[in-house]
Amino acid sequence: MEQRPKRLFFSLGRMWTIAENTITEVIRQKFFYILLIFAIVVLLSSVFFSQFSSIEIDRVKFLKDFGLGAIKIFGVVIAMVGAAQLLPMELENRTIYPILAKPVFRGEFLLGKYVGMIVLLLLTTVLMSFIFGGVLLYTEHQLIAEGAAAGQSAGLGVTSEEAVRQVIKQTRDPSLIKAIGLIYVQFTIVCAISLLIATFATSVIFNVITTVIIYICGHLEGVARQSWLGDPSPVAKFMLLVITFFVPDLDAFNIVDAVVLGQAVPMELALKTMGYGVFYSAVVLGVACLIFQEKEI
Amino acid sequence: MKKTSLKIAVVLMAGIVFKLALENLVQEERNRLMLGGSALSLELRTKLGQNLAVALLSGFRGVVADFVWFDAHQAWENQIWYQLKEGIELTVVLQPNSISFWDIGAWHMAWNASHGVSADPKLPSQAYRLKAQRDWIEAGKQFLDDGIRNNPDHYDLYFKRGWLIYQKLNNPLDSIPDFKRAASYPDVPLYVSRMVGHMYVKAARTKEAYEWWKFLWFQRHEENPGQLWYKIAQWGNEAEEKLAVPAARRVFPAKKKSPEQPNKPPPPPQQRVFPSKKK
Repeated sequence: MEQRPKRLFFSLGRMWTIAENTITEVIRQKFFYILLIFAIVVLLSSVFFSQFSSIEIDRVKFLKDFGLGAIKIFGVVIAMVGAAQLLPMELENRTIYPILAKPVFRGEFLLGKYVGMIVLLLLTTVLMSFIFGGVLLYTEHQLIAEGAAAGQSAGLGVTSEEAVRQVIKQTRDPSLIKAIGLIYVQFTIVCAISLLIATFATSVIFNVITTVIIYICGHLEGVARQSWLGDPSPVAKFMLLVITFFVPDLDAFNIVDAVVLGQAVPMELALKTMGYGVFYSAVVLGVACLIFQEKEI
Repeated sequence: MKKTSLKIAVVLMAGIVFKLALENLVQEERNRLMLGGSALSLELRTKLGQNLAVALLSGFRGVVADFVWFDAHQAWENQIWYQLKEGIELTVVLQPNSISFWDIGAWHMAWNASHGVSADPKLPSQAYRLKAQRDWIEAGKQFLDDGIRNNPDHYDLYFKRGWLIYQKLNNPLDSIPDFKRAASYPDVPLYVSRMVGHMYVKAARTKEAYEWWKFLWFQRHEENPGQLWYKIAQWGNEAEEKLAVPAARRVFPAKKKSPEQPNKPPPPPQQRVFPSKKK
């Protein structure tokens, strides 16, 4: 009796296998190590830069701005460069052919690459966050000791409880986790955009430059949206339309300033923003899968 | 290929519609919470320069504001007051929700710059120096007014404005509304509420000061263990003495004399340090 061939369904297991392989591949690349080491050095050196400010609260503010900025810039570069290389490297090394010759959907392959990249970004973000947290705790200890020394020289004996409480409130702010969470979602968006461009572009440099331009335009998307609703010239209107429709509003993810300045950022806003990020990444990956489906390999 | 193009178009169209809807939702919430500073304008880009403008565009507003602040700090150390003012104004354009920028900026203007110009030998006369001093104090007050407009929910700027009006404009009476406003916020430091009473005393408004000390005294003592209750009692007592409040209506406990040494004798001559007055 003839057996009907089994119908192939989308498999999370196959996708996860490809993701694991992607993590292993990217970790072995030199650019990843170099960027990670730079990120760690910059985070540790932020203690030195914060000395430029003599006022305690300013020092903690500078440390947080610098530290979160470092996490963001290095994470974005790792996301851009890492994702840009995934497909071209597979094509160049011809490792993609045996994979796609097996019963693996092209969509599974692409999503596996994406999931591998975002898991690696998560691990990198967690590592950088731990170092950042360590730097904050070290600064807290230093500020409290300086306060105690100043109090002793003034004959007060101990640092005032209020001053210690203020320093601890600044350095152990749980809202920093929300800020880092939204920075991570930005990484996943950048990764998705880079992967989309990789499905039709063959040059890694072209991919990285285009992603950088989209990243910068993303911070102006809100302004473009407002201007588009205004009354610009036809050419400007078209350009603004392209930015408004296709570029993500990356400024919406920027709650770093608010968190550093002590403004309350509701969890509801953070979740809405994360939801927007996940939705945008899903749409971009959907389009990437459709393009990759038809790509001649 | 045609089928795929159609699918891509459908996904994109649906994506764009939901994208714009979600973006508006998030932006409305951000506007309500007054998150974010000024957008990058041509004027701001000119003031910041190329590198800082690119950093600002890349979402590093806080770092840019910090570096501009360091420049302003340098201008203060070099006593270049107008450069200091420009730097301070630029930082608050970048981060209007930073209380410390508004607070320290106003302090630089109303205290440091005003003192600096009062002793500036380059100004032609004392009259010019006094005017320049007054102009800087007014600039500091105006700066705090703008700070309060941008941050109406923070007590600190009201307190600092009250302090400026009292210390630099020598007007304790006009400082009282600001101190009262600052004291009305929850979780303010306890000295903020005491300042209102002190300003009434400075303005020789003993009756109002007494009312304020009573208002503080009738708060629950156990909820504010750090409050200087014994000092409030002392000030309230002094006000009652001045106002000649009848004993039956007095609120504050009378000042106790120590039972062990009701009248402390003068120190014996050999312990005296200073020579006695010659007749």
